[in-house]
Amino acid sequence: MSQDVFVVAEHLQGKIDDVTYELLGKARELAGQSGGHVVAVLMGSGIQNQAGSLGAADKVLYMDNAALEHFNPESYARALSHILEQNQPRLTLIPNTSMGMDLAAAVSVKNNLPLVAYATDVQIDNGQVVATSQLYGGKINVESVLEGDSSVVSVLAGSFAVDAGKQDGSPEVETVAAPDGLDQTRVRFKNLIQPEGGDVDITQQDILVSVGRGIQSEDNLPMVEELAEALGGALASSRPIVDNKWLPKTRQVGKSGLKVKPKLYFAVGISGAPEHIEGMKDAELIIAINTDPEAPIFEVAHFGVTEDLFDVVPALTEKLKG
Amino acid sequence: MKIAILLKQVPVKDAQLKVNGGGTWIDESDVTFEINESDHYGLEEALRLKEKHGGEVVVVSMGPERTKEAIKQALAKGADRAIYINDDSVRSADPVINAKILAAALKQENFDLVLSGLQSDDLGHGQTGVIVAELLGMAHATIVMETDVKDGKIKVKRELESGWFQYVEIPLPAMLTIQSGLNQIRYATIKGIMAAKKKEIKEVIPADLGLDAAELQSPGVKLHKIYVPVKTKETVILEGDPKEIVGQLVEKLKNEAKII
Repeated sequence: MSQDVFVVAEHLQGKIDDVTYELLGKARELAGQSGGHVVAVLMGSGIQNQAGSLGAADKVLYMDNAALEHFNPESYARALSHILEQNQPRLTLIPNTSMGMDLAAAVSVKNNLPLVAYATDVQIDNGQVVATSQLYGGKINVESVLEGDSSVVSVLAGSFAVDAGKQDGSPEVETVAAPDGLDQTRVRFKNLIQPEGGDVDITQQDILVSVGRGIQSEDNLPMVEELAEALGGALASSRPIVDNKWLPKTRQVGKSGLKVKPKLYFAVGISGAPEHIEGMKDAELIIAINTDPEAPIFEVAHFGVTEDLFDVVPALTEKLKG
Repeated sequence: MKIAILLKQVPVKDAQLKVNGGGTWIDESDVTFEINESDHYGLEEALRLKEKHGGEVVVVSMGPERTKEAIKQALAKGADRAIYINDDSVRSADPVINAKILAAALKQENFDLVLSGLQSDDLGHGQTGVIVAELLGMAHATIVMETDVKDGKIKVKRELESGWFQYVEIPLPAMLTIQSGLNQIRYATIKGIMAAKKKEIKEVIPADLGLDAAELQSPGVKLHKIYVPVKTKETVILEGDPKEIVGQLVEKLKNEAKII
């Protein structure tokens, strides 16, 4: 048993994702509270050179195996389970990403470790691990105590600053042997699909007018598009609009879509689920229209309008055009 | 193919929520409930797989009495029967405990495929399906956007971050968590609603499932505090009639955003 804080590094195509740096920065703070070290866990194939970008960690545990070349829920869970079994850290932080959703639950069961998923903050307070998570789409917060000497928390990307954990350096790299038969998995990786190219790259736009569930029908989309045109910006959206196929995936802002940082983000009928906020909270100016004054979008918006969007949007477009 | 769909009832999206008097959970008294959104897509995928490959679709759902409404809706859409775990204790903080109960209910049935929505819109752990799979020793994959069953295997498209996807192949039996938007969900027909009245809803309580009571009462995660988040950044709400609001918006766009 150690007081170390482990961070599972997320990477795609040989590049470490920013969420890893967020967690490393946080782990540094937590290791101060627990009196342990920060250890990054890097699992992959031929990516040892990436350890150099994990300079915020005291040590990198690196497991290299062909079965870890692409994310595979089964081989990764077995590999991480093996590492945690050997090391028994005080706390393991896993990004609540597509990878982390499979991984956190699996190692929690395999190693019998308490788990809080989808957390937005973690503290070690008087020796107790306390995780904060958002419930009901961000309307309610819960603080949970994770019992025992070792536990797992998966953290939503965007919860912490990237800078604190993004340091190049040469941390000690310890190579860990893969458990036997790691390639004997039921789940088989087949292939990877790149993001599709779109007509408009919303990450490059200064002005985005983004539309959400509040628009109610596809027929109302042109009304918002006209506002985007009047502002000289492009149309973006939250997930439900893309799920309904009213707009292509390339227009989606958020966790599974794109992260944007425009000068103006004008949110129309978007309640602001945590996955959406993650993708747009760094916009310079955020204006939101939503009839629910309690909508989480008003946590990040600078200016808010709670009148009906069907009254405000056309009137604003007309005024801008006139 | 014998398919289970784990279905959960959650507060409607625009529900106004407050913490109850005891500070132990939310006050559910004025809250309306609906089927969790991604579970709707999971149910639809289960029905489509059955239509293509034969077999049956079994709804498995846990919660207080109100949960039966969600089960009836799923049966009306075409699920064949249901297992209802009647349980209204709040075990909110610990995703493992709920999963243990669900796994115990599933174990007796030997499903070829277990589906759930990706994430519940209430607790949002997004872990129940995977924990159930691990407890049952099934292979699993999350955030599934496409399924294709062939020769005892299921090939699935998983959503990764930032627009990337991957395909993985899993031999059955398997457990998948389904992402919203992978199919077009159907509505129940009048005929379906009528037929649902005759379908079996097997009601059990956790104690019927051969679970160790002590195990259920000692969660690894304990609720410490529940609260409505305090806004750290105060949004300036623009007041007035739509015309006045438009005037203020134009002023902000000019002076704050400097874009017009």
